[in-house]
Amino acid sequence: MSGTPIANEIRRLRFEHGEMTQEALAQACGVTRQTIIALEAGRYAPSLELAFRIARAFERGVEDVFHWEST
Amino acid sequence: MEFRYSPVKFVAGLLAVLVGFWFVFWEPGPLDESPLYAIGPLLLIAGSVVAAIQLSVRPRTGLEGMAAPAEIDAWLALVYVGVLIAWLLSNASAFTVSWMGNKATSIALLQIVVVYVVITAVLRGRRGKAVVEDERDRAIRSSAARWGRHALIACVVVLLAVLGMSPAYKLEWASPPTVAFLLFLGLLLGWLFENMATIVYYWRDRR
Repeated sequence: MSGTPIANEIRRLRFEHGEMTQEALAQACGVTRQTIIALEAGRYAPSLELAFRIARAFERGVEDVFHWEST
Repeated sequence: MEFRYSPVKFVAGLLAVLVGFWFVFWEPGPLDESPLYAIGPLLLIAGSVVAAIQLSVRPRTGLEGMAAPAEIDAWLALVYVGVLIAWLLSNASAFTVSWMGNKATSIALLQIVVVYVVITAVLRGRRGKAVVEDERDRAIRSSAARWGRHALIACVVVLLAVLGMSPAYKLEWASPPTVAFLLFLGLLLGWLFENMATIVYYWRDRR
């Protein structure tokens, strides 16, 4: 549950969307704020469904939000 | 009726819960036959309700802002199961005979269940329609449940080994109520481990 090679742009996209709060994004995606915090910190890899929900909240494609970070 | 958050009332409620726990579970002896015996349950229920109401009107900052609802539930369950196990162990002798007709024990167990149900109901009311569990919480719950299951299996295996491999003369203590008590304790230990594992997983997840 900690450390994932899937990086994301959630924090940047939130700020580009009128400084959307973590709580607002969590509500839009049907998760808790703590899950958004874990995602932003790169400690949690979302399911495919949640990845799509987040991408839809930003009106973007999944690959605009998530990408594989090779080590 | 609208309540405002007051740290003093919140702490007073928690203190009343602690004192109530003490009266109900450990110190009923001298008060057992007097009307003062009711002070324990009264403090426990009144303190829990006051603390729960204060918690429900508390601004969402600090621990509650940081902790997931499922983590708060795990802490709550950990405290109550911990108190229950401590009380059961300190009153183990009462369970070596038939549990039927043991009024004080039944009342004490009922009280802790009622208080736990009241607090969880108030917390549920505070959360309203907010999401209280998502896929990450379910993943943590599933991993923590494995720990609880392993703890329960370990307890049962130890009991099986002791009962199955000991010579009969060494098993005079193992009356049916005592074995039932040990199985009950094993169940509670399993639940305790599950909640402890839940808290550890959330803690590791925040690091």
